[in-house]
Amino acid sequence: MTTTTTSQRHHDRDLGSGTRFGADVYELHEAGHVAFPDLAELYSHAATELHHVHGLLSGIASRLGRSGGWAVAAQAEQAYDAARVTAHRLHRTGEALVELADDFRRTDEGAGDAFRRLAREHRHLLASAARWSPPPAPGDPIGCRSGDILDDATMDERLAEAGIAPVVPGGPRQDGG
Amino acid sequence: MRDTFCATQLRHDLDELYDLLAELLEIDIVLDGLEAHGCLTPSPGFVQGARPMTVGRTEPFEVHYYDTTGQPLGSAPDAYPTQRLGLPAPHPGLGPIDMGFLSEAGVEAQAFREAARSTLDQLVDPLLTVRSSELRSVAGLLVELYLTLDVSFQDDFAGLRNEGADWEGDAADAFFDGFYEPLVQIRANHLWAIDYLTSLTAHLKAVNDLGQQSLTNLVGCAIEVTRDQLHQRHQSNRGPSAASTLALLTAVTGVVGAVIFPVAGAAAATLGTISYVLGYAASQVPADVGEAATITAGSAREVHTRLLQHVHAVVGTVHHGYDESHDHARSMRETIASLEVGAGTGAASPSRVGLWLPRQPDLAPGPGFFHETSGRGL
Repeated sequence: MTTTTTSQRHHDRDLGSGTRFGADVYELHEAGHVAFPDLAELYSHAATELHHVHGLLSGIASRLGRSGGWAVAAQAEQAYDAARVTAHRLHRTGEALVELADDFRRTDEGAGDAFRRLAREHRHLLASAARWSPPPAPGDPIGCRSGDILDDATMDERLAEAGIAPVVPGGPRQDGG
Repeated sequence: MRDTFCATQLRHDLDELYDLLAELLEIDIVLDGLEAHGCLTPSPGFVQGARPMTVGRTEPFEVHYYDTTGQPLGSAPDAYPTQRLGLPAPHPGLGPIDMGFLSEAGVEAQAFREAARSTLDQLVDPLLTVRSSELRSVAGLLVELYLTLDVSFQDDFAGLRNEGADWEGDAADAFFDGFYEPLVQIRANHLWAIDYLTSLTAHLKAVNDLGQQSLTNLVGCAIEVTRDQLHQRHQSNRGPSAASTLALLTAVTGVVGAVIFPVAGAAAATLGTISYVLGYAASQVPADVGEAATITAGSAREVHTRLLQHVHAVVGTVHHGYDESHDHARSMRETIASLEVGAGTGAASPSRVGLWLPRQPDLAPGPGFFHETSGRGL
């Protein structure tokens, strides 16, 4: 929007000005448009997985007949909820950053020019933003899955890829040390 | 990994065991009945023909018995008159023994089989409801998720770490210092939670597996003792038989204790033990966990009683193991509660920001969020 009033413009100019301001505004825009949606999507995936895990553990707990199973399932639910809430907050923060950057860049012509130049330069990056797929809500049914079982070799391989060497524990330890 | 424990196989083994026990009990009832009714020795002073009877099915053997008995001494008829006259020998004073106990033996043995099996099933069935692969599948999902979240999230994922100094105002501080920077630690705590959840799952699995493997061992041990008893009957012996096996009788230790529960802030140190723990407990009762369970018995009822005692012990230990899982889960919940401290408090300063969930920042240009080029700071 370019039709701001004089008083608004005077107020807005106090927010920052110039090319460096424009570049920093672009950084906020890019973060909100790309990085935050990517992370929000990652957390949405995590929430989906943990929702599934919670369902599986609840099914197991119902057959174990002891409270230990339910306690573990409850922790899966807590982890799912954390991932779900984090996903939503990251998504909303991304949207808010984009709106914030848009508001900022309209306050200063120099900043607007710098912003547009950077946006053109990084148009491919900006176009790569992840699409938002909300995580399952509490109480949503668990979807069918296949191929869930990670065999020994694959699990060790994945751990090794992550730099976590399989360890044969020396004995009972519960201190995490 | 395929399940090495099969509940169907265990039930098949239990069928076999209680068939053998019923057979053993029936044999003993027959032998005891024959002895009690005086069928194993001829009546003194009488000419009797012993009848053969095949006993047992697993290792069948013949018993020779007499189904008649002489009258008490002094009441036998005088055989002399008929012998002197050349007449056929009269009934020599033998009377039939009521052999009804032979058919009752089978009925009693079957009644024992049904009742004993029912009692054991009530104890055993709850331990057979969860397949090891179900918990392994859950742990596999968690490991995959941990690794995905770990490698896909860079500390400065949005490249804003150096931007914070260029923006000023309370809202800017709340965003950069109270939201963006803590995300690194919040992510680390989420990884810790997934790691911990993996350990909890591995713990449940180890307890479940060891309980099931213990049952397999005990039933195998009972079959061994019962078969030896049947062999002894075949050899005309009735001494006690004994066999030992490993079972989870009094404490959940060893590989279950090796499940490490990570400390928040020190995540990633424990996942390396997970594949070991997940695979290890599935196939056996390890020597460092199991205790020697001995079954010494000289009859079907004794075998059943000793087996029942050991299964009771295993069930109790498994329940204790699940209670430990509960305690570990409570520790996780308490740790998360401590991470949430400060999340609901007023203005965000780094020291008061909760490290479990990110605070939703309030983003709007204005006095609370402006750029250093504005000149406001001058």
